[in-house]
Amino acid sequence: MSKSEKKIVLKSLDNEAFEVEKAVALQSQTIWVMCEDKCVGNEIPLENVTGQILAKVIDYCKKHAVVDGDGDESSEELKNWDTEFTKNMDQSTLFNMILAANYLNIKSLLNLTCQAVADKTKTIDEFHTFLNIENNFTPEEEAQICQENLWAFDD
Amino acid sequence: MAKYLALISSLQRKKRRGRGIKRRRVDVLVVPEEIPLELQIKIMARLPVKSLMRFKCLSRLWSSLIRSRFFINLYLTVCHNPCESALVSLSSSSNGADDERSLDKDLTLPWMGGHNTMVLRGLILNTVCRKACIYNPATRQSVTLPAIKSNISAPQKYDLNTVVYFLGHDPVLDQYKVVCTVAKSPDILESTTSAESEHWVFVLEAGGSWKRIEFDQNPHFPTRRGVCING
Repeated sequence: MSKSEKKIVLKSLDNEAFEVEKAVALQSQTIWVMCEDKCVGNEIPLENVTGQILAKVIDYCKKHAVVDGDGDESSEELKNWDTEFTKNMDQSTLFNMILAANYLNIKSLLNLTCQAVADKTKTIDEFHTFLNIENNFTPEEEAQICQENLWAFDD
Repeated sequence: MAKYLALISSLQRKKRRGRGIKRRRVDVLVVPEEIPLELQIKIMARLPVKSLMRFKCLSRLWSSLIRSRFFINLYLTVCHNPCESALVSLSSSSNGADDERSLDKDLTLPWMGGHNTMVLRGLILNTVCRKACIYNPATRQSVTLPAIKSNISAPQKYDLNTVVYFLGHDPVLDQYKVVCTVAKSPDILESTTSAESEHWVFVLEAGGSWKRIEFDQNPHFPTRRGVCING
């Protein structure tokens, strides 16, 4: 395999191009299927992901590809890296990462980002806002459910 | 399952269509794209049980989703130690609310430290006064199953009459079942009565009741706790 065949170009929604090792990109099942079917050339357009998010996704894939490849780093270190990776992301970035991980079908990244949102979102109000959930209970119904689960409301 | 999700999300979309554009714009600043319900469920399944119990107040949809068997099973696959944090709403309680009670925070249960305890998929089965009691430590719910009307006569003076319960999960029908064996072994010295045993099954669901299982076998006397497989 020549050097150029090992590389692949991922193009974001806003036309930012990223050249990455094939092994890195193939962690995405979506890209894997595209390459397998030979339906794309060396350049893969990803219409649902912006450059800013794609850069982060690639960082994640690079880290995980290296570890899977030579096994130099322990799983403990990788876990710490994952924690640091999501620690300073704001909610908006995290949600975009979830959507990107889902679209690209990278299971471990999807699990990581879903867990990060679950860890960061504590209150009911935050969920109403972030997930755009409408509270359609009547005040009486809401009070009754709260009453039934009273123990869950003390901190 | 996909159908179920599609139905729910289409209902959600319909509801949202009714809302003003203004509200949408505000939301766009926070979440550039709407998170599909399927992914929302993935996020929810990673919350601690205590938060989930609070989030039953989110909306009608979430209230029923969190209680649904689909969500509970998903939750069991996401959390790594199902014994520690299962989430099961005992469905029989929906019919007989009297059976269910919220327990004190410090878990001072009348039968705590009782006997014949068995743990399965986050549920604890205990025997209290010869009745089966199932407790869900994650949701702090408990139910006591009704007593069995056994045909085996009351124990005579030296008879050994035992009632033993086992808790099982049927992965095919996705049902929780309690098996009860009532057995009487006669007094060895007088042998005025014969050995007898009866087997009963209770499917944990709304309107469940004890059903006797007949099979040709010599009386069976459970001498030790059942083996818990994959649970």
